[in-house]
Amino acid sequence: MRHRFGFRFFRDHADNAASGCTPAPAGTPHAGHGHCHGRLAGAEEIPLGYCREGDEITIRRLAGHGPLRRRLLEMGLVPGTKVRVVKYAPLKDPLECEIKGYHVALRVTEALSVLVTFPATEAPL
Amino acid sequence: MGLVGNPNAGKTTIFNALTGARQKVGNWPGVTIEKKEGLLRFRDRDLLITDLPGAYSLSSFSLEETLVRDFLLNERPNRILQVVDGSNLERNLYLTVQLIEMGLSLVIALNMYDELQDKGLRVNLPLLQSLLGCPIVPTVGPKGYGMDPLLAALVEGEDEAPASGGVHVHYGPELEEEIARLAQTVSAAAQRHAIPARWLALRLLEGDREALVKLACDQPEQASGLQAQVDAAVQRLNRLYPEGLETLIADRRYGFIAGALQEAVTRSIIDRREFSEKIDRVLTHRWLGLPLFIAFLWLLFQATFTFGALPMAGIEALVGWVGGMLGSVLPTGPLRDLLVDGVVGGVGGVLVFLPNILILFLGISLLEDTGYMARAAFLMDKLMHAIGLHGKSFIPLIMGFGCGVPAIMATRTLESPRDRLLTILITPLMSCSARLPVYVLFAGTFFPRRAGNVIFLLYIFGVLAAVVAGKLLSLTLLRAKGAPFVMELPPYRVPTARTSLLHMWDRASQYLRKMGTIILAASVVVWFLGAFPRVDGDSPPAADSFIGQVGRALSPALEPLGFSWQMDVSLLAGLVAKEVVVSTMGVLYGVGEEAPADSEISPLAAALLDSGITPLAALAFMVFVLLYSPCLAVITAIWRETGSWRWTLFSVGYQTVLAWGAAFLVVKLGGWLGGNV
Repeated sequence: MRHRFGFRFFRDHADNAASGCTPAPAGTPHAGHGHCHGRLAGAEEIPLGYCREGDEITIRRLAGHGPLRRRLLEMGLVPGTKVRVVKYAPLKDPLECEIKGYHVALRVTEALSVLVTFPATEAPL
Repeated sequence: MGLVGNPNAGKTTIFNALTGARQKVGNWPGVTIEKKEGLLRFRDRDLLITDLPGAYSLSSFSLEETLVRDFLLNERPNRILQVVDGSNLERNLYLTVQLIEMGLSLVIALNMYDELQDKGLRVNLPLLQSLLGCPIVPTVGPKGYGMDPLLAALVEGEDEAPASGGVHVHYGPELEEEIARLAQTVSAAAQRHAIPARWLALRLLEGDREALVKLACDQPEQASGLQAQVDAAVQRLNRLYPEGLETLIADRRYGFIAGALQEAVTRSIIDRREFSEKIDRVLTHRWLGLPLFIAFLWLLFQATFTFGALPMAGIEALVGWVGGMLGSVLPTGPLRDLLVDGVVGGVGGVLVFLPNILILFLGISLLEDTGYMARAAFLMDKLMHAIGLHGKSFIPLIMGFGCGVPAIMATRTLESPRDRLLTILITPLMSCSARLPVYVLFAGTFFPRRAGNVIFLLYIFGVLAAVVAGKLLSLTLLRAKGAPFVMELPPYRVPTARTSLLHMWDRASQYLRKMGTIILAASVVVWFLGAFPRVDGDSPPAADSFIGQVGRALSPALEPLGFSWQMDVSLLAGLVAKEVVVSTMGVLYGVGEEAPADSEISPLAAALLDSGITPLAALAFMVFVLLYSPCLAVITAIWRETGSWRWTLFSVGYQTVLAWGAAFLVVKLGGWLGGNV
């Protein structure tokens, strides 16, 4: 399955998690094959930029501030919204997501400021 | 009346369907970059419709959104038509909420209604109308479906007062309290400007200061007081909402929309892996995506040259026949020379390239209309980012292959001024269609068997030059950080034959108009300069004519590149428009007089071969034409878009220096590699 390819990329970034975001734990919760939702303790927030192709997640909050944050909100990336990571571009950046029934492309660095959780760990807002 | 909506919602298609105009449309966000007006009559009423650029919201993030907001604020149109993309309802309605809050009298065109139904959605229109408080008309832009009901809805409510106040988003008790308090403070100012105080208060809390503080307080001393009040309110609210005020506002608006849609829209099971995604599995595939993209471009240029060449012989024969006929009918003298050498030789030399230009523009319009252009930005963003640009810069750059003027205007979709300036500065390096005649002539003449490849390489070379220039500029003069890349990828759509042909015809007529005006005038001027001062009542030897003198004055500068003085003069004349390079050569080499006996090659090509230009000099010449100063129209566009003479002059200067350097390298490298290729 080609969407598994996102894995290596994911690991590369996991080591230098952006400051200000909740860092992904060293064991990278859904690193192996398949989505190991059960292994996530509580509402573990990870940046959207770490997700892999095919992941279906829910936005929890947006880190950062300024025009980027506002644009993301306006484009519908508000907390509680479901997102599906459709694919990464051939050069691994940007990534394409489906939200609210349409497709939007974001750079990975920008997607790092969007914090998401997997469905099994969804906590009430 | 204003026509607003999200980017790529189909505003211009609706505008064209309503007014019968022929504005350019495409399937990527940001096609309309200036407001355009159209007049139509319906039920004995004149409606003036203004087509505005797309906006996701009215928070003035990009230049286009500022333009829309200012239009709505300053012109206060009595009716607003919002075009809503039915296949993307939720996000499109975000703007609707903002428009309703502005107290505008709104009519919604629920466009792409067919796509909405294909997605398995059923809309209870009366219910949605009452929830949003404005009339909604289902439409399908390209088919003209729903236009009469839409006009009826627009006309009917025109005299009524805007139905604001009735429907509004509830932002929660704390925020509502602050809104109410601020609204009280600004109520006088709001009344003066005929906008709802509630909206003004909300905008202030959202942090839209520069424009609105000015608007709220006509006295500057009041502004600081208001500023303090706003700041205090924002601070209080931020303490209450750790997520931040912006999130809260967006969240409540989307909540309102979701609530309305939940009630009014029923959905049957949808196939989530849509058609578009299936196509994208190939076109943006990890391995295939980029090679396919390059292959598309290569195909486009091959087609431009190969198919474009087919009708060329016919057009050449026609031009030759006209020249020959005029030559035989008219008495010998300056008039005959003017018509035959100046007009037929000059304009005819450029007319030949009409088919190439048609094919190029057909190709570009297909890329635009299908939605592939947005994918190109998606594929290229990483590379563009690496050279300090933005994925969206890619669209203007590709359009630059067509013509630099719309391309430079298309940079308005870029949000950061720095990205815009950088893109504007390098876009002219993309080889525009006006340069194509020069390549077709020179490559066809000097590299007859490899012409397609030579031209393709020239295009690639232009791209590389743009890349290098972009990188250098972003490392030196324009060092600031670029804007974020958040771009919508519209679904693929089958382009309608009408739109594609419309684009092509649009271009063709522009090209023909250009030939009738600029190129004709330039040809006549060049002929005049070449035919005077008279020697014994006849044309002087070419080198002694005015133009020869200009050429000789220029030649020391271009001597190292191995150009003849005719080439130097053509380059100078080409500043008017790049096609003029070819028409000038047509005049200077005195073709157009009679059709050649052998129709294997054109008379101009034969003249060039005879003139002793080496293939290497021809190559250097093509490189020079590729890179040197943009034409007058583009220079004007750069000046208009940057608003700065310094940057405009910089653009002209650096490109000319670059052209000289690159052509010099070609000559030296070529000579070193063994001279004549």
